[in-house]
Amino acid sequence: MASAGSGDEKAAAAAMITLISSDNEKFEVTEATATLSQTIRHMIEDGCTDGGVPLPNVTSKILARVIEYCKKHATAAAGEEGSSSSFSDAAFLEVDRAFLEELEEFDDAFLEVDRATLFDLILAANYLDIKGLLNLTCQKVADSVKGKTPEQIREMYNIVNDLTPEEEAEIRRETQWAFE
Amino acid sequence: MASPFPRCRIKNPTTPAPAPALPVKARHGPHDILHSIFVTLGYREIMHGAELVCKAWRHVAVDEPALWRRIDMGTTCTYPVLPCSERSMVLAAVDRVAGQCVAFTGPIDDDLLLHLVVREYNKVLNKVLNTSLKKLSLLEEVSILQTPCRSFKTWSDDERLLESVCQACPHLNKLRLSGDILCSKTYKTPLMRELRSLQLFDFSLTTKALSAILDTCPLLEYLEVDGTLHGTIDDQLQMKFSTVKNFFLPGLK
Repeated sequence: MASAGSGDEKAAAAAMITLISSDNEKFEVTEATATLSQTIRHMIEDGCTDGGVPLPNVTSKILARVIEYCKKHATAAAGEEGSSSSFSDAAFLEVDRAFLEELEEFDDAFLEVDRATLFDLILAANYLDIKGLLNLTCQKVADSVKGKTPEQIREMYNIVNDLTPEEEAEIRRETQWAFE
Repeated sequence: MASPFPRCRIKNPTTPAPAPALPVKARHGPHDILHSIFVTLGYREIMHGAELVCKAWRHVAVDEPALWRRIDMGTTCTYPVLPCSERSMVLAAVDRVAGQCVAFTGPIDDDLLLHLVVREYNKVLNKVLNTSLKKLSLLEEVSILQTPCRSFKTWSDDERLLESVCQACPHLNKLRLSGDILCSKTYKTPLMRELRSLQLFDFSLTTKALSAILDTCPLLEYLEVDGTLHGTIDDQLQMKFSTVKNFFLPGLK
């Protein structure tokens, strides 16, 4: 089982995929990294990745960040698999925890971006269908909204209140809890 | 500034920000982005702030039963009697899930529990009723009188009792129903060519809806409506009444 696992890893490491950003920059990544994106995974399965995968919705700046995330998380996943064969249970748990802690630290640092970049990352994660990244970035937005009044949220995200006075009155009636 | 919140109008940015285009062919609708954020936000937060921000946010909060399938209102509330605001929040959450609730955690009392159960129970019952009626499409006489505990507003827009019955059984001659809410917007029944007797009990309907019902029943001889009628009975409706031999509107002014 151990040898089969590492054999797969080697095969995956050997297969490289070229991603092309909207501004025509090329990024070469391993298949293991690229397949964190379900969108790209499906393209690989359909055999249409020869000559590179054009991503017209993702800029090179954002794609570089996305790849950084995928590389780290793909390595972590591979590391966990490898460790299971060579450590005892206790040691495995220890290593597992260390991996998770490191990953958490990485995620925290990864989210230290301005709001525009965060939004672009959400859009890219949604487009590329990378569940982990989408959850991570959405959580960050959710955290920023927590405990805020509607007015504060609108201000924070420059959203125009397009509810008519009649609609607002109706909502007030329906959602008494929010005004008590 | 670019916004991941499509359909939200963005105020003029104070700085000329480079606004990257929204993904044209996102694999999932951009709706999903707000949905994902709301899921992580939790219900209390949604109901106290997010859903009051703008139309798009409200739409995601209110019209997405999937968001409420697992209702977790938290268990921090330990009052012996639920305060009004808690009650109305739980009630609204249960209504939004539209009978598709798979898990519920939160403060509850007898009435709320009943409300939750009735919504779930009625969803099943409505389905059974609809399926049965469709298999009995040649029925000429139908009478469905509901028990008072079903007087909750339990029929969603796409499954009005009167409409379901009429659509399932176009050959009806005599129909008696109770406990339904109708407004003209949602009323769509086929022409009931053979319907001669119609009795509606405990109904809440508008004069427009009643007028539309009369339009689809050319041979109606007996009409009885009991319940609440909203709107005024104008000359046109009066005329339609006069084509019915016997009409009886107790309790309606």
